[in-house]
Amino acid sequence: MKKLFLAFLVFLLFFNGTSVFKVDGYRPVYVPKEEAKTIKVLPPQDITTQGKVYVKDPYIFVGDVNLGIHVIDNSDPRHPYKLAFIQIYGNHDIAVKEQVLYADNMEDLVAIDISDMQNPTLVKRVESVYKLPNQHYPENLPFQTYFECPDPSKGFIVGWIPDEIENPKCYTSY
Amino acid sequence: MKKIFYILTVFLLVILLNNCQKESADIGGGNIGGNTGKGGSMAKFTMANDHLYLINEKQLLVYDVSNASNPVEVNRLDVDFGIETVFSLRDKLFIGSINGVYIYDISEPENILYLSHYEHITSCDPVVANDTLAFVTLNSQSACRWQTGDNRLDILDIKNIVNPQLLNSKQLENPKGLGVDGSYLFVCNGMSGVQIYDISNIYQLEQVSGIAGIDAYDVIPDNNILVLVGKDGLFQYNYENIHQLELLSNILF
Repeated sequence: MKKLFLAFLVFLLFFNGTSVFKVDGYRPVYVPKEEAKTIKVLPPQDITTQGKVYVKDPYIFVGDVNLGIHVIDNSDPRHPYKLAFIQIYGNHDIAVKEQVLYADNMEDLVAIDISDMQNPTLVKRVESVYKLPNQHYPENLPFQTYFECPDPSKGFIVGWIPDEIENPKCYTSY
Repeated sequence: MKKIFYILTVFLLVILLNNCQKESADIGGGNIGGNTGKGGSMAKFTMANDHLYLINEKQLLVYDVSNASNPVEVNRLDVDFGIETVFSLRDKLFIGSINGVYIYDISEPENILYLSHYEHITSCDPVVANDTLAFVTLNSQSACRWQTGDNRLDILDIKNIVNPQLLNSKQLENPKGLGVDGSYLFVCNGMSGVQIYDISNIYQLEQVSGIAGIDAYDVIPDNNILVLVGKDGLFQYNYENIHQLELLSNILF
């Protein structure tokens, strides 16, 4: 009976060792297709990936890479607070002139009127200023780097982040 | 009975090994060859004299924003591959690539002139400047340096902007973002926090103050308030008295 148990243990060891193959690789970051170009205001959010910080009195804008902009009301630097979150998918950078915020939204440049921060309005969209990242594989990685195979049904790929991935079926071959 | 278990174990092993082989055979499926462009393209903006300058992967685009809500494209230039950052200083524009900084004259945004190429700074290196000096941090961990370079602060004379001259260098542990205001330079130094230098005599840099205990990425000094971006959040300090900074607030991420 002991041997049976041992055999079972050995089986378990092998099962764990071979059936789930975990490696360091890259995972696509998706944004939902139908929402990709919708600019809207949301209640204050937690910060996922801190990006660029832009100070424009009385606000501090904190970018959340690929998701949008956290707006901090800094009228009183002793008591700043998160006022709102502007959803701008695929965003990396912003600039502000007067009451207009310029941002990259996916492959477009957008101009957003922020005179009423609770109701930011899109005033202009310049299309195809940028190129979306490669939707099939991550570029500029060493030969034979594993990555999670893209699934277009999950949305547009806006970037790739390093992560531990299970049973990778794709790796770079260029 | 024993035999049955051994047979069973062997049988299972065979199945597992098979499974494993199948997996390796599948690997390499979903990718396509090619070696153009660059992953994780970062949009970068800079605003100068009623114009918005932005870079995509290989071009500089110029928008007239004199009417803020209606940016109008007025110029477009092919610049280089691997460009990542753009910043402006008065009527000069600096475009950072992995092999140096390209300097342009933008006094006429519709007619941008290429001036020069400076090789010792790359797009990975944060730069700030005042009228006569530029301050740059070089970090050995940055993607441009392949972990072989120095960790240091460089101070350049930019009075002749097309031909910057290195005036002084200072070794630092892990320098990141930096900011300048008047005679003070604020340098983020990773886990060592922020170091503040008096730059009245750049040949004899003197650390006059600092902020410890914050893993600091970047700083924006403006009007006696220092906005400090750290790993854990946003901190604001009053630096009216540079020797005794006062923490005003923080917002944790």
